[in-house]
Amino acid sequence: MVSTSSLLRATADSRRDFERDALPYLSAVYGFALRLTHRREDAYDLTQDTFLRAFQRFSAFTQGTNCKAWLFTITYSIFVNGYHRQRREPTALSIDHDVIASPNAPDGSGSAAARAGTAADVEAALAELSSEFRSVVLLVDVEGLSYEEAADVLACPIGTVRSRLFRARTLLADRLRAYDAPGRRRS
Amino acid sequence: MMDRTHPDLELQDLVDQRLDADDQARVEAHLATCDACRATLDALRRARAAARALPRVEAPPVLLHAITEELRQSARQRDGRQPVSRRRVVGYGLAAAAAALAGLYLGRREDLPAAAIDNASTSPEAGKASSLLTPDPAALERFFASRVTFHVHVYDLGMMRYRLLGGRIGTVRWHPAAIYTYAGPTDARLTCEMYPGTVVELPQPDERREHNGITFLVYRRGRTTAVFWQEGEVVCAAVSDISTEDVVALAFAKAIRS
Repeated sequence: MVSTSSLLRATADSRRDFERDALPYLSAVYGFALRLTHRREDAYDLTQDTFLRAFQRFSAFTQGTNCKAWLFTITYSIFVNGYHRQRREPTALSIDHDVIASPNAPDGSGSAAARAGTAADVEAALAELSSEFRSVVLLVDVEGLSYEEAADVLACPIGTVRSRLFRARTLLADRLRAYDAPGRRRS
Repeated sequence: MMDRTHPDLELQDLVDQRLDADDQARVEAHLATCDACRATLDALRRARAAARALPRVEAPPVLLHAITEELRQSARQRDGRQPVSRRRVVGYGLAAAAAALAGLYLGRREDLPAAAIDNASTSPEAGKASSLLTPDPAALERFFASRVTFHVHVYDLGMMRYRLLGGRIGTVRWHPAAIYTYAGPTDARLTCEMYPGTVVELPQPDERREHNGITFLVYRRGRTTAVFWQEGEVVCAAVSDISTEDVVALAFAKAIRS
């Protein structure tokens, strides 16, 4: 028979496992949520909802798999089923730029990034994309997920990720080119 | 419109290094003869590089603090319970964990003033471990010191004709909070609340006041006024049914002395 103390220990272990595995991705989830919603308060709520559900479903998480991708799956599911339906699409001007911290290493592509515009330009250009296109860029390019992991998050076939990413990147490049053009201002 | 013979998706596969050697050679051979595809490839690379170079976003510290603290608190509460059957413990554990995180879910920004006002409707009670009835601010500070992790200043507002009744431990959102009550002229009640957090979590106030370099957020809910301000890592609130101006004046007085 299992003792009460061992059961209490088990629940404490579960909490520690959750903290150990999931909480390191708090900023990643918050960043994903912020770039999906573009409102700090919505991102705050969406992040909280994500960790609420993640903790409730933690027993279903397979240890050793990509916890960040699993959390993103929950975030995106809540977003498309709730926030996205209830709230209007964000505008480029509504982005909370003040939460941006230190830059990621540009992975040897710094010169290309510099040509593409400032971070504010890129954030604004991303915000102009529909959430379907924006999400795939966020997952693959910003967060570094594989096509397969992105397909799991978005609950769609890999072929859809591939085609959606192509369209999203070309639209993003078009917008960045428009920002670069002299005399043009963001809408 | 894109020519269907252009290998658009394979250009992207080239960018993402998803082509095998044969396909890569074929796509590169096409690129050598196709200006449109070279332009497309450049656009894909520009967009990818720009997105990858975006700065990292940091979560507000209060999010991490809230989740970890609440999980630990729920575990401590469970540890203090009487032994129960396995099914009951597991059920309680799940329920407590769910409730703990439901606190995050329910504790939305817009609920904080309402939570503070709800707290003000409950007075400290004699004989309860979570309450202390005393007119002595120092005694109440010692009471709080043994129960919360932050320092609580309990001020003597006698000069303003408010006498201390006592205090209790409650919660504001998911945080343990120090809550203490004064009785003023004509038995008016003033409740002060302190909890670890940030005023950033609060919704848009009805009014903002500035005094001595401190920003006070004023909320009115029916006849009740709640005034919030930040003191270090602690959020303070003054709640009362007296006039808004009087609550604000008392908040100014308390904040000035902190």
